[in-house]
Order: sequence, then C-alpha cells, then structure tokens
Amino acid sequence: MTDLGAQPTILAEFGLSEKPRSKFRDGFTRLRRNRAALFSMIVVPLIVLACIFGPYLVPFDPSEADFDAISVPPLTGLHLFGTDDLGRDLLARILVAGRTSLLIALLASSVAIVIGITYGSIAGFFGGMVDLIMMRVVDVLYGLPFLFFVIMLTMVLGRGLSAIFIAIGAVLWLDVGVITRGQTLSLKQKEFIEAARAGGMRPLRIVRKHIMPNVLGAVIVYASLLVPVVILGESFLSYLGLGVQEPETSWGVLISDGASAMDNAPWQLIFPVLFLVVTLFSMNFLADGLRDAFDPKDR
Amino acid sequence: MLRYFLRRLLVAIPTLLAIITISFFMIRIAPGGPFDANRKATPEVIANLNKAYHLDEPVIEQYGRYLWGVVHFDFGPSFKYRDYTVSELIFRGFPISLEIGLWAVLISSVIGITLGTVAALRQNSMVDYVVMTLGMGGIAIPTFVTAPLFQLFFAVTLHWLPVAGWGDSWHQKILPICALSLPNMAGISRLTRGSMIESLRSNHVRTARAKGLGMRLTVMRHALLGGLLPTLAYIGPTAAGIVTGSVVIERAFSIPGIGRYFVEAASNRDYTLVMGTVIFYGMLIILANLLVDLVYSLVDPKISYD
Repeated sequence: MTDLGAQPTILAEFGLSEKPRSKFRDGFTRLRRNRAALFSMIVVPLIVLACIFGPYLVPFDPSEADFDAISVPPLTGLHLFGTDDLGRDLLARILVAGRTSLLIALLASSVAIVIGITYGSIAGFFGGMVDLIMMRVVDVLYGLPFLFFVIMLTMVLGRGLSAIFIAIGAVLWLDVGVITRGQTLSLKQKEFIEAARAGGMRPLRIVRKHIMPNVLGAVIVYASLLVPVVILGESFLSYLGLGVQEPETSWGVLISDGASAMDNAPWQLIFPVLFLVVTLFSMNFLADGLRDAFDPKDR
Repeated sequence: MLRYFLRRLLVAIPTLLAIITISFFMIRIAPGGPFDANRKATPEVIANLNKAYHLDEPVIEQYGRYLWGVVHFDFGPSFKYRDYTVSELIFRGFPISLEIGLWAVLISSVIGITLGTVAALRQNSMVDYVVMTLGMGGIAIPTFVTAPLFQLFFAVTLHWLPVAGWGDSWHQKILPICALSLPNMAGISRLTRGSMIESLRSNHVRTARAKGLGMRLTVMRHALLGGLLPTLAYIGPTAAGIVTGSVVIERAFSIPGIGRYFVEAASNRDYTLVMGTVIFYGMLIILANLLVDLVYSLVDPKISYD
C-alpha cells in the first residue's frame, strides 16, 4: 500500500479501503451505512431476547387470572402494561405471544426455504421439459389467492402451531423457488459443476452437494423478507380466529382481543399493536438493508 | 388484439381448474363434515342428508358433478345457510365488497400517484420523507391493525364516525374504505416515486426541458406517461391485496360482504361456500390481471401482444 499520509483516497471516499476485501466485508460496510437497517439490527435482537427471557423476569404468570385486578390500566402496581379482561398481566402475555409469533415465523420461513430451494434448484438444473412444467406450475400457483389457501390448509391440518407454520410455509415458497432457479441457471455453467459431471456424479447428487449450498447464501438474504411476511400472515389468521387457540396466544390473538375491548380498555389494543408494528417495521428495514448490501443484482 | 385476449382467456382455464381441483380435494381431506355439529341428528338423518347433498357418492363422481355445476355457474347449495345457494350468497355479498373495493382502488391510486410524483419531483424534501415512511408503513402495518386503531381514534374517542355497521348511512363507509386504501396507497406511492425518478432522468424528458417546455407540462405530458407504467402493472396484483384486505375489513367493521362469508364458512366447514368464494375470488384476480394487461397495451405502444 502506498503511503498518502492523511489524505483520503478516492476509494476511501466510497467507503472502501485499498486492501482487498471479501464480498461479505463489502456488504457489511454498506449495511453499516444504512441507518435504518443499523437501528433495526439493535431492535430485532432486543425484541427476540425480550420474548425469550422476558417472561421469566415479569413477576406474573401470563395465563393466571387475577379477579382482583380485572382490566386495570397501565402502571397499576407492578402491572406495567395493565391487565386484560381476566386480570392477566398484559406485558407477560405480549412477551409469551411474541414467542409463538417469532417461532412460527422462523419455522415457516424454514419450510419455505427448504421447499423453494429444492424445487428451484431441480427445475433450474435439469432445465428443458422439467423446467418448463415446473415453472408452469409456479405460474398457476402465483395466480391463486394465497391467503385463502393458507386458510383452507389450516382447515385441513387443524389449528395447532405446527399446522399454521406448515400452511404458511407451504404457500410462501414460490419467490424462493424462482430466485433459486435463476441462481442455479447461472451456477450450472460454472467449471466445478462441469467437473462434477465429468467425474460421473449423479445429477441429483450434484444438485444436493454443489448447487444447493452455493445458492443458499443469496436465497437467505431474500428469505429474510419472508420473516415479517409470516408474522403478518400468522397474526392475520389469529385475528380472524383461524390461527392459534387458547391457551396458546400470539400477537394476532391479542390484537383481536384488544380490538373487542377498546371501548373501555384501549391499552389492551395499543400495546400488542405497538409490539407487532415495531417488529414488522424493523424486520422489514433490516431485510431491505440486507438485500441492498448483499444482493449482487442491484449493482 | 382480440386473439391475444382470447388466448389469455384460454390460459386462464387451467389456472381456474387448478384452483377448483386443489380446493375441492383439500376440503375432502379436511377432518369433520358439514353436519358434524348437528348432534341431535340420528345416523339415518345424517345418511339422508349426505344422500341429498351427494356426499355418499365416490369422491371422483362428486368432483365431476361439481365441475359440471361450475361450468354452469352453479356452485351448489350452502351447507350452513339452508335454503340459500352459494351463488345467491355470493351475489348478495359481492356488490358490497365491490363498492368498498372500487372506492379503495380509486382513492389509493389518485392519492398514491400524486404523492409519489411530488416526492419524485422534490427528492429528499419533507413530502419525500412522508412518502417513504408511508411506503414502509403500508408494508409493516396490516389492515387488522389500522382498522381497530381507526375505530378507537375516530369513533370511540372522537365520536366523528360510527364504529361499525353497513347500509344505514354513508358515514359508515368512510372508515372501512380509508383502512382498506391505506396499504395500497403506500405501495402505489412508493412505486410511483421510484419509476418517476427514473422517468424524469430519461432522454425524452430532458429533450422536452431542453426545447424550453415548462416543468409542469413536461411532467404532465411526458414524464408521467412513462413513469406510470409500473404503477399500472402494480394495480392488478393490488386487486388481490384488496381482496384479502377486505376479509379483515369486513370482519372488523361487521360489513356483510363476501370476505366475511368466507371466514365464517371456513370455521363452519361450509364446504361449498368456501369453494364458491375461493373460485369467485380466483376469477376476479385473473380478470383484474387481464384488464391491466389490456390497458397496458393501450398505453404503451412498445408492447404488442401478437
């Protein structure tokens, strides 16, 4: 490196040093300059940690009714956010509900990623007639009113937690599939795939050993956008009374309950809404930032 | 043009068939039947009911019968609302859903396009930040949050508008329509801003400015034409968003549209009504997309479909 003293070079002006950098470091530098994303990088872990450990710190059991403290407003005694119609502490309930919402989000996104990557890489790798038919199917599925199918799937699978994440994941994999296919198409021209073929590797094994791991990085960046979508979908179902059921609770359930109690206890609506909206906002900002920073297509 | 239109209609048939087939068999797999809730009925009565609704036939035969019915726009009788056919229920609810939906599309397009254009013209101004924040809000804040918040604020606290209901006065329509418009307005303004910024930088706009045309005329006559194309394409899928949004809105404001029938039917296992609404919505979405493509080809001379 030449020594230019304190003088900034052109490269430095664009936030790049003269040292060769990995793609990851580059992306991370870009991500750090996105203030909304940076802020979200603090907020999202905070919410996750609060939901995981918070219920142990709140001095109330989320499902224990207290008939001496029915619908008390926030800041009454130790009830920081007040209580609900049965005298259950609202903060404890929100945090426990958050666990359900976040868990479903994580699992449903995983389901979507698994289905999407498998489907997309097979379609892209085999090409030809296989690709044509598989993409035709995706086109048809894109034309369907997807939330209705989630609702119908929950009718088939029941209303447990697993039913909901499978139903949402089974519907949301389309984007992942299409992105994976695109990545696979360019990947399969590379030499190492050719080498694997020449070495006599079975096509399905190539897909599993070489295509899928290499596509994963790009797909996960996109899939981060799925997490807020799933949280939204789950809350939507729960709001309509088709999602998780008592004693399980989620943010959608709390919002639905709060909406019916808003005449005399507006805090029961406002606090769950606040948690949901802040989570969705920061997750979207973070996902957007990740995509801007790491997606090679945008540059 | 006509040929393209016909071909698109033909392509829509497999999609519709897929919707019908998937939903038909999915519902047959679902545990529980429509008459389970009726505990008083003796086995003979249940058997008779099943016979009357052809539920005792082999599934494939039922499927054939159903398909044949759909071709004739006969979606069968509702299992829950006795004496009503599914078509009757749909056509009773649809005008109401349509009214809210059309207003929402109109309002969100007009305000969204205006906001997006102003934001593009004044990048990094106050308007721009408002549009960008609104755009993110539209994605992050769902209708089932805005609807109760609107009710809490405008109805319960300020008493300006009625909380819920339908058909008594036009005041009742304001809140649901606003709640339904908001997310789409956000999407449209965000998209318009992006494409207008690109359009304003394009050569033909620069030429118009260079030959001395005023900013206002340049935007109205030249920039908007190109800049609105992506927005137009967006409005098609938005129809789908408005459809799912209306399910929530109709529930939150107790409006007797089809969205509410659908949710009720899903909980009641009213098979025919669920399928009827899904197929009906599917057709609507396909039609909306087709309509947008047609308008697209009229506006953009570069696109020809032959």
